[in-house]
Amino acid sequence: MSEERESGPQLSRGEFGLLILALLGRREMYGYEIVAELRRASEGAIDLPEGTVYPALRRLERDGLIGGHWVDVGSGAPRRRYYKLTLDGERALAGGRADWLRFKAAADAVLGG
Amino acid sequence: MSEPAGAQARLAAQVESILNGAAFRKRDRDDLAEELYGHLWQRWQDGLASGLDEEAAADQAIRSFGQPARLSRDVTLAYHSRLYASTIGVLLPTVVTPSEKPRAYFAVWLVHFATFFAVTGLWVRALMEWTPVRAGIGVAGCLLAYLAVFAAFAAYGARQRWALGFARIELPFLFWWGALLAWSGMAAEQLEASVVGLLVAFVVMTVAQTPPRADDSPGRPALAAARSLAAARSLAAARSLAAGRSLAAGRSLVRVALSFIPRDWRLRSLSAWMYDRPIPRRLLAGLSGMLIVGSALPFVALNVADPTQIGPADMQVQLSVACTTSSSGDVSAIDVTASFSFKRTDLWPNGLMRALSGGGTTDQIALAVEGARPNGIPMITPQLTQATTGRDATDGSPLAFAPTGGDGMAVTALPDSASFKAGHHYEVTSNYSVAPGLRPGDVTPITFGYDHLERFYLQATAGCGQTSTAQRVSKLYVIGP
Repeated sequence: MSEERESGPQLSRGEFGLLILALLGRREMYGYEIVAELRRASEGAIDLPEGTVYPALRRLERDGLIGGHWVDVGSGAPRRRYYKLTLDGERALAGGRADWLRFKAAADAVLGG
Repeated sequence: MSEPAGAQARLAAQVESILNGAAFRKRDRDDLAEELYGHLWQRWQDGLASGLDEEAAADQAIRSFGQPARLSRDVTLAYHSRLYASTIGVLLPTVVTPSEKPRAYFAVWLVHFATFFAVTGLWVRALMEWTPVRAGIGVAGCLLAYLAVFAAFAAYGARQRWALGFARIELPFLFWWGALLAWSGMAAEQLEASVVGLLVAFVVMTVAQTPPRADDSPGRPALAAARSLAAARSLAAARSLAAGRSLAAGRSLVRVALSFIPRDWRLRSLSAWMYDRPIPRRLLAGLSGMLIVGSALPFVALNVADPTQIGPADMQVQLSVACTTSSSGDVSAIDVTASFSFKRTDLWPNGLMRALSGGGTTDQIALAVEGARPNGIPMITPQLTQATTGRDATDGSPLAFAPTGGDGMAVTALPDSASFKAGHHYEVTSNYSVAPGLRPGDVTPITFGYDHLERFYLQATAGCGQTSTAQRVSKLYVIGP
């Protein structure tokens, strides 16, 4: 796991947000879980410094696309802040996914994919 | 969040480090701190479950979480615009979140800030008060220095170690910057006994080894600066230099000044606290050069001839003296007329601020109608009348001014000289009635001087019935530098 990715494709802020929205579209998750799920779903291809997920979550929450709430997990563990999509978030996810698919199709056409 | 201990304390410290470097709403801090800590804690737990010991698991959790400086910036960006995050968001957290910062942190921060402040102060002054070309050069230089200082300030906020090295360059810069400003302030105001004057006196007396004088040439402070820079290379040499003077206070001040020069900064803990983010040697040299050259440019600018400002060749001044004689052959009146015109006029002679606020720039003219008759009686006596008037001879409008003096000498401040129009002819006339008994041959030559914003001086002398064109002089007969 790299601390900083110095080369290779980089996720833009918008793309990273879209991926988080997509994961939260499946179910409520907390930060650590989102990072793990991102890594698992991308088969390790998306391997960002783990802390970067929190500024992204804050931004999405500030924009009203997701909402967070605290959950006590007991046994001395710190509380977890779970996030879920808002209605605006669902709409943003749908729009973002459509945009992405269009972009992917165009990129595939150019790259011969 | 309860007080953690051991490895968990390191996790909490990591969270603090991230949040201390970020600028965001205070009410969000606790939530974010708990959330970040919860992530690190779970990562740490997973590490323990995989067989790592507590410290190794904490190392892994911290390493995988990302670089604090980058995360701090990302957190700031989550709450603010990119512009804010790149400016205020960089500078603000460097001072408002003390936390675990080493004790020396603030001292070095102050160095960066003072340099930042000094450069800011100068470019604002240059922009507002200097003539256009000089202001342009000054502001360009300051912006050059500004970029270097801002880069170092931002790097310092991000805990990059090279910013410590850059502060070593900033310190002597600040010392000499302050000395030069103090000197120029004293020279401009001709201060002798003031804080500024004393500070300058300290520098000059301990280093140039002679007391300062109000009419010193610029060479002396330059010599003082050169000597000091050489002396600063060695504390022992500087002490012996100071010891050569019987100035205990001066020696103390030199010691204080030199104690700031980074020989041994006692900043090892601060250095260890920062990240090793080396930058290319050429880039560091470039930034240093930007600071030094950029901050020197304003001083160079002050000695550059500004083509937007007029010179003596752009102005013509003529003096005419007419003497009226009575039936007895004595001189009964002397009429002195000075006429002047401008081929072109100054553009913002006192800077943008005066140009916007209007007024404030004055030329001075001086008439000297002096001399004594053979019997010792003044040529013009105080009780006799004198009237001075002025007008724009081209359009006939009056020239408002308030003459002072009456016993043969008048020093007059003209109105806003920026209001003079190119191609117009202006006249100032003084009419003197004289006491009986003054023979035409006793009328001594009359001198007229024109002082344009203390930048150049023109002077003409004429006797009865004569007309004379003024020539440039370095100092006026009656007023001047």
